[in-house]
Amino acid sequence: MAVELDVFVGNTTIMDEEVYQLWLDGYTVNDAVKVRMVSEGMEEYEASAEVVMSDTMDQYRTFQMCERLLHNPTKLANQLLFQIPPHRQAMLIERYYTFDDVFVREVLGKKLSKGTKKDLDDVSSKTGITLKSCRRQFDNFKRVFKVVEELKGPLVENIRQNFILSDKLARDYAAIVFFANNRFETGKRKLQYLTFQDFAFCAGQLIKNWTVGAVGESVFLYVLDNMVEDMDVDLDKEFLQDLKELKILITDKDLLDQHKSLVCTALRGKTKVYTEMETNFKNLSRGLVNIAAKLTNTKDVRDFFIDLVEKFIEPCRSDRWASADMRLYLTHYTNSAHLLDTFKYQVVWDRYMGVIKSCIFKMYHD
Amino acid sequence: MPGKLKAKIVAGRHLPVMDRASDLTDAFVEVKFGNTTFKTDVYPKCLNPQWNSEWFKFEVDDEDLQDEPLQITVLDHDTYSANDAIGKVYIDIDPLLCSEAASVISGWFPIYDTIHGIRGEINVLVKVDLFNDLNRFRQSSCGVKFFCTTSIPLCYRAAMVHGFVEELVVNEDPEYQWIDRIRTPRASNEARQRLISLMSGELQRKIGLKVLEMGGNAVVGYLQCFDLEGESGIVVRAIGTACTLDKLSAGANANAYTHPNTAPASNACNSPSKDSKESPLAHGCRSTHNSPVHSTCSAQRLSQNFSVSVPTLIFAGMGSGGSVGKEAGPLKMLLRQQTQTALEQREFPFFTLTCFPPGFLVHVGGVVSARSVKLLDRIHNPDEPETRDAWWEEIRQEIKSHAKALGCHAVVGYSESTSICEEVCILSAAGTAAILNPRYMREGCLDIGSGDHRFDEPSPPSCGFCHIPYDELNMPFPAQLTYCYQCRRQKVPDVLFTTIDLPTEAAVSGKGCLIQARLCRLKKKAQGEVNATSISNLLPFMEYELHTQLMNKLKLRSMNALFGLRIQISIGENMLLGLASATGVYLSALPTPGGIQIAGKASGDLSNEQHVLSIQKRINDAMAKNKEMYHINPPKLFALDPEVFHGINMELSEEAAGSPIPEPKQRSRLFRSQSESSDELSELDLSHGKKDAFVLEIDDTDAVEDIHSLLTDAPPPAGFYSCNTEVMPGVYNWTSGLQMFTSVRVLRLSNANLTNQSLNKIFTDMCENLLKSLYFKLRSMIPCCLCHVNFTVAVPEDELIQVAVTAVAMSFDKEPILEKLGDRAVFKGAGENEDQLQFPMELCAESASVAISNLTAKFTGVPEYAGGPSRATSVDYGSFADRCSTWLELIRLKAHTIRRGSVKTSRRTQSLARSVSSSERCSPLPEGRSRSLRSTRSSGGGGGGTAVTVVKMTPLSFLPGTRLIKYLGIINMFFIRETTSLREEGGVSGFLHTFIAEVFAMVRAHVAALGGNAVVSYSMKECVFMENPNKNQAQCLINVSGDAVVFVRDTDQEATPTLIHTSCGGTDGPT
Repeated sequence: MAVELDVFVGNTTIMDEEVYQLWLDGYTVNDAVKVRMVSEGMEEYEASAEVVMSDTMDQYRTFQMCERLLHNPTKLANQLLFQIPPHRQAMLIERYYTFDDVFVREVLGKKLSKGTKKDLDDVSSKTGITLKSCRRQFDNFKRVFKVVEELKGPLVENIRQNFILSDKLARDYAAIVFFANNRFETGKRKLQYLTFQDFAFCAGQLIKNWTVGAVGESVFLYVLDNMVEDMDVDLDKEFLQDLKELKILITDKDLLDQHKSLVCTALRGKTKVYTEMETNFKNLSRGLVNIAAKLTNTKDVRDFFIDLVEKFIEPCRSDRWASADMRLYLTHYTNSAHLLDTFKYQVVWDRYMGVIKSCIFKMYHD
Repeated sequence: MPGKLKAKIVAGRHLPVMDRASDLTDAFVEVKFGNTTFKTDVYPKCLNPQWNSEWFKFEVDDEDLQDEPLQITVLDHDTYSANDAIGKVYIDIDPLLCSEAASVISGWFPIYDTIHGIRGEINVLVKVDLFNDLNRFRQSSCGVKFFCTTSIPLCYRAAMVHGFVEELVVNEDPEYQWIDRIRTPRASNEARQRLISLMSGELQRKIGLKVLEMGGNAVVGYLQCFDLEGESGIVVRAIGTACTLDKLSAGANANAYTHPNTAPASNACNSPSKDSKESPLAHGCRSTHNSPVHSTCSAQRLSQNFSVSVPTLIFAGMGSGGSVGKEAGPLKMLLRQQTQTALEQREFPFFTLTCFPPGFLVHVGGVVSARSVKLLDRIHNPDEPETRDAWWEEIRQEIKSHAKALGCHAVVGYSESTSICEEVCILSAAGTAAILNPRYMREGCLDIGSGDHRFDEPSPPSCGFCHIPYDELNMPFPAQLTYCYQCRRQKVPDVLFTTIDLPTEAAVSGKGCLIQARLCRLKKKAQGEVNATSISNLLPFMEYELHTQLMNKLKLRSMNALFGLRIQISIGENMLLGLASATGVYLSALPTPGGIQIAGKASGDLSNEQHVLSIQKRINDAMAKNKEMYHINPPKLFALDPEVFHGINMELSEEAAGSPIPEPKQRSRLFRSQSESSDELSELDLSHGKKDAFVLEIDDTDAVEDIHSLLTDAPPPAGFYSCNTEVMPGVYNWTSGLQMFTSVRVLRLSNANLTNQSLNKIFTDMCENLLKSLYFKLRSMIPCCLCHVNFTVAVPEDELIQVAVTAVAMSFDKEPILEKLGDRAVFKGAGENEDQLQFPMELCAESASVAISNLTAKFTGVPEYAGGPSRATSVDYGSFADRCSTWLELIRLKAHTIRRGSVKTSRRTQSLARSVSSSERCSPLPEGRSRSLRSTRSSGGGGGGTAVTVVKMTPLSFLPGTRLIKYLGIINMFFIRETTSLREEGGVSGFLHTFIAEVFAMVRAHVAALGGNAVVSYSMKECVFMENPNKNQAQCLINVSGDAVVFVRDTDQEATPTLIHTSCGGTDGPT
C-alpha cells in the first residue's frame, strides 16, 4: 500500500517558514518530521505523522526546486514558475543567505576553495551544524565572492543589489568577502574570543576607511577612469606605503618623549591605571606604529588582528584597563600627535588611528 | 473573411545554456502559422537575447485563425550540425477574434519543451486585423464568446438562453501512428500537442457555427473533453449552452435593473434567431461530413460494435429503484405547458449551467444519469465521427426520457464524461431534471420588465424549486411527500439530490458540507465483450451502493439535500472505482431527516446486541455532533403545530398505500419511512408502527462496511468547511485570501489478493488522508472553506489508484460584523446574477426593515405562532429564515454596538486601513518588486525587467471582494511532459510537481499576456500519468481550462461602506 506519488501544488506557492528553516538547517525529511511532530500547535490539527510527512516532503521538494533560483536571487523576482508574493520572496532569500556565526567564525579569512570545502565535515562536527547546512553556507560565501569579485563599485551595494539582501546581511557578506580576499588570520587561539560580529565591524571600518573606494568622490572618479577593480576589496596600496612614514613617532626619540608627555599630561588624574599607562606608553606606541609600518607586506596584513591583540590588547588587559580607560587613552594618544610640531603626517595618522581606535574598542572585551 | 495576423518577437530571458564550451546560446526564433514560417536573426552568445524583430505578417482565412495556434519555436543556431530546439510556445489567438475580449497579446511566455519543461521565457507581441469590420462575424463563428463558467458570466445579462450545443471531432492519435516508431519522443509529443490544439480550435469553431445558427452569441458552461482512445484515436468533444448575452457596461449596471423598460425592446442580437430557430440546422448540423458512402459504412460498424446500455438510475430523493417510465400526469400549471412547447422544439432540452438567474428554475425533479459501456473500434475515417455521435445520442435520449419520467421537460447542470481502459469505454451523462421558466427561452423575454413577472409566480421563489414537478398520484418512484415546510402549499420530497449549485434564493439552515461516497469493486481481467459485459453487470450495483452511502452520510449529518452531485466511475484492468461527491445542506423547505437506526441480527445474541447498541450510540453521537458543527437548527413550525402535522401524516400514509406504482425491488435491509426530527418525536404517537428512522441492519458484510464507512469519515478540523459547489451555504463574509491548488496522489496496491472490503478501506482512507493533508496544509488560512473540491479518480495501471483534487481555499471573517447584511446581499448578487448586484445599496439599506415586515406577515399566517411572542427569538424558519436570522443578528449587534459604541467605529476604520493595504498589495508594481526591478537593471541581465503580474486562479466563477470587469476569452491548454531521467528529476513526485507548477505558470503567463489578472472557472480536466520506473521514464498529459478575466477590487472604486469589508481582512492569502 505504498504511496507512489504525492504532490500538492498551489497557485501561490505555499511555504512554511518553520519547515524552510529545518530544510536550511540540513535536517533530513525524517528528522524534520520528528521535530515538527513535537512542536507547538500540531495536536490542534490532529496531524498524524503521515500527514506531516507528506507536507514536509512536498515542502522540501518545493525548496529544492526553488534553490536554483535562490542562487540567483534577481531571477526569483521575474521567474514565472512559482507565484510567490514579494515579501515572501524577500524572506526566502534572506533566510537562505543567513549564516550561523559559529560557522562563519570557522572559515572567516580562509580561502574559499575546494580544499576548505573538503574540511567542512570537521567544521560540521566541531560546530554541531549539519554538513548540508555548512555546505550551503560555504557555497553562499563562495557565490557572493565570485559575483562581486568581477564587479566594480561599492562592495556592500553590489552585494545588496545582486543578492537582494537586507542592509545588515549585505554588510556581513561584505565582511566575509573582504576577509576571504585579504585572508586575515582569525583562527589563532588568541583570537578565539572574538565573535564574527567583532570582525564584521572591523571589516566595515577597514572597507570604509582603508580601501581605494574610501577616499571620496574625486578618487572614486579617478578609480573608474583607471578601471581599478575591487576598489572595496583591496586595501589602498598608496595609503599602506604612507603608513611607513609614521615610524618617525617611535624612531625619533624626541618625538616619542614629547608624545608621551603630552598624553600623560592629559591623562593624569583621570584614570586609575595611570601608572600602568605611563610605564607602558613606549611599548604600546611602538606596537601600534610597527603594525602600521609593516602593512605593506601581505603576510603582515594577514596578521593584522593577531598583532593588534598581541601588541596592544593583551598588555592592556594584563594591566586590567577598563574599556573606558582604553577609550580615554587611545583618544588622547591619537589627538596628542596633532600637537607635535615636527610630525607632518597628520592625515595619514588620522586615517590609520581612526580605524585602529574603533577596532580596538570593539575587540577589547572587559 | 480573411484576416491578418501579426507577430513580433521582442526578447528572451533566462535561456538555457546550449553551448557547453562558451556557456552561452546562439538563439533565434521561428514563428509559424499554418504553413507559413518566419525566422528572426540569430542573436549570438547571449542568454537574454534582444531580437526586437520586425512584425511578421500572416494573411490567413478566419477559419484557420480559429483552428490554428500560433507556434513559436526557439532554437539554438549551430553552424555545423542541425539546430537544437530549445522549446516552443503555442499561442491560441482566439481571444483576439472577439471584439469584446483582448485586443493584443503581449508578454513573457515560458518556453516549453516536452522533455525538459520550461526553459527560459520569450516576450512576444501578437495582433490580429480582421478585414471587413462592418459585417464582422456573419460568415464564420469568429466572435462567438466562450465561457467555461457554468452561470451567466458576471458582467453580462442573459437576453436569451437558446439551449444545448454539442460537437465532437475525431482523429488518429499520433502516438499510435507507424511513424511514431522512428521519431523521437519529443517529435511525437509535439505532434500530439499540436493536433489536439488544432482539434480543439476546430471544435470550438464548429460549436460557434451552431450557436450562430441558433441565433446566439455565446456559449456558457463550455465543457470540452479529450478521450484518448489509444489505438482507436483521439476524440475531442464539447458541450455547452448557447446564449445571447448582453454586455452590461459599468454605467448601465446601476440602471439596468431599476429601469428595465428603457432597454431596447428588441435586441439586435436576437433578430437572426427567429429564422434559425425553426430551421432544422439548429440541431446537430454537420455540414462537413455528408458523404453518403461513409455514413453507411459507419452504420454497419455500429451494428458490429458491442454496446451495452446500462440500466440507469434516477436519483430523486429516495428513488433508488429503476426508472419506471411514467409520463408526467396532467400539468398543474399553464406555465408548464408553455415551457413544454418552448422546450419541445429542442432535440435535447439540456443546460450545462449550474447557476441560474433568479426565477429561471421553477422545479427540480432529481438527478438523472445514464451510462453505457462500449467497445472501442478504430476510427477509420477521421472525417466521420458518426459512431461516437450515435453513442452520445443514445445516452442523451435516455437522459431525456428519464427527465420526462420525472415530469420534467429539461435537464440542468448537465455534463458528460468517459472512462477508458484498453478497448472498453464507459460513457456517462448526468444532470438534474427540472422545469424551467419559459421566459428565458422566448425571444425578448427579459425586455418585458422581468421584475413584474416575478410577482406572478405562483409559489414563493425561495422554496419553489423544491416542490415536486411530477404528479403526486403518479410518482415515478416511491418517495415520501410532505407539504413544503416553507409555504405549506406544495408537496416536497423528503430528500433532494441535484447536480446544480444551490439556488441563491434557497433557504438553508446552517452550513453545508462535502459528502463523498467511495467504492471499489474488483473484477476479473478479461478481454473484449466478456470484459464489457462484466463491467456493465457491475455498474448498477455500484451506483446503488454509492447512492446508499450518500444517503446514509447525508442522514448522519442531519441534512436533507445534495447539490453538485457528481458520480465518477473509473475502470481499470481488474477493478472499478466509484466516487460520488456532493455538498449536503439542510433545506428549510424539506422535512427534517430522521435518525439512523441500527438493527442487529434476529438472533438474541447478547454480545451482538451490545455491539449494535454501541454502534447506535456512536451514530447518534455523530449526528448530534454534526448538527452542532454545521449549525443546523431545524425550523420549529410543524413541531408547534401538531394538528397540521398530523393532517399531513394521514394524508401521506393514504398516498403511500394507494400508490399505483409497484414498489421496485429493494434490498430488504433498507426500510425508509416517514422522517421527522427527534424534537418532534416526543409529541408523536409512535404506536402507529411508523418507524421514524432509516434502518440499517447489520446482518451481512456489506452493511458492516456501510457503517464502517459512515463512521470513519473524519469531520474537517475546527475552522474548516468544505463543499464541491460554487459557494458554501451559510458562509458569506469572504476575505480576499484565496489559494487554488491541485493535489495528486497515486497509491500502489501491493497486496495481490485483495477483497472488496479491504480495497474499499484502502480507497476510503486514501481519500480521507488526502483531505486531511489538505486541511493541514491550508491551516494558516483558518477560518477557511474549501470550495469547488473536485476529485477525479483513475486506475492508470493494474495496481495503481490515482486521485487528483483541484479546489480553492477561501478564508472568511468569522465574526459577524454589522456590514454583514449589505455584504450578504452583494455577495449573492456577485455569485449568481448581475441583476441583483445593481442595487446592493438599496438592499442593504432596506433589507432590515423588509425582513421585519416580512416576518410579521408570516406571523399572521400562523396564528398559533403569533400568539407566542415570547418565542420570537428562536424564529428561524420559513421563506425568510435566512433574512430573519440576519435581522436577529442585526438586533443583537445593535445592542452590542450600543454597549461598546466607540469600539465599533474604531474597528471599522481599522478595516478600512486594512483594505487599503490589501489593495496596495495587488497594485501592478508591488512594494518590494521595485527593489528587485532596480537590481535587475543594474545587473544588466533580465531584459525588460518588468515585474511579473500576479494572476489569481480559482475554480469558482467569481473572486470574493472583487468585480470582474472583462472576460478576455477562454483558456484551454493541453500539455505533454515526458522524461527519460525520472530519478534525476526527483522521482515521480518531483516530476509531476514540476509539471503541475509549469502548467500553472503557463496558464498565468497566457492570462497576463491577454491583459488579465485572474482565471475563473479553472479546471483540470485531464491528468493522465504513466510511469515506468524501471526504464527511468514517465509521461504525463494535462488538460486545463478556464476563463481569463480582468478584475478590480471593490475598494478600487469609491468605497461604499457596505462593500468594504468583503475585501478587507486583507490577509494576502495563503503563505
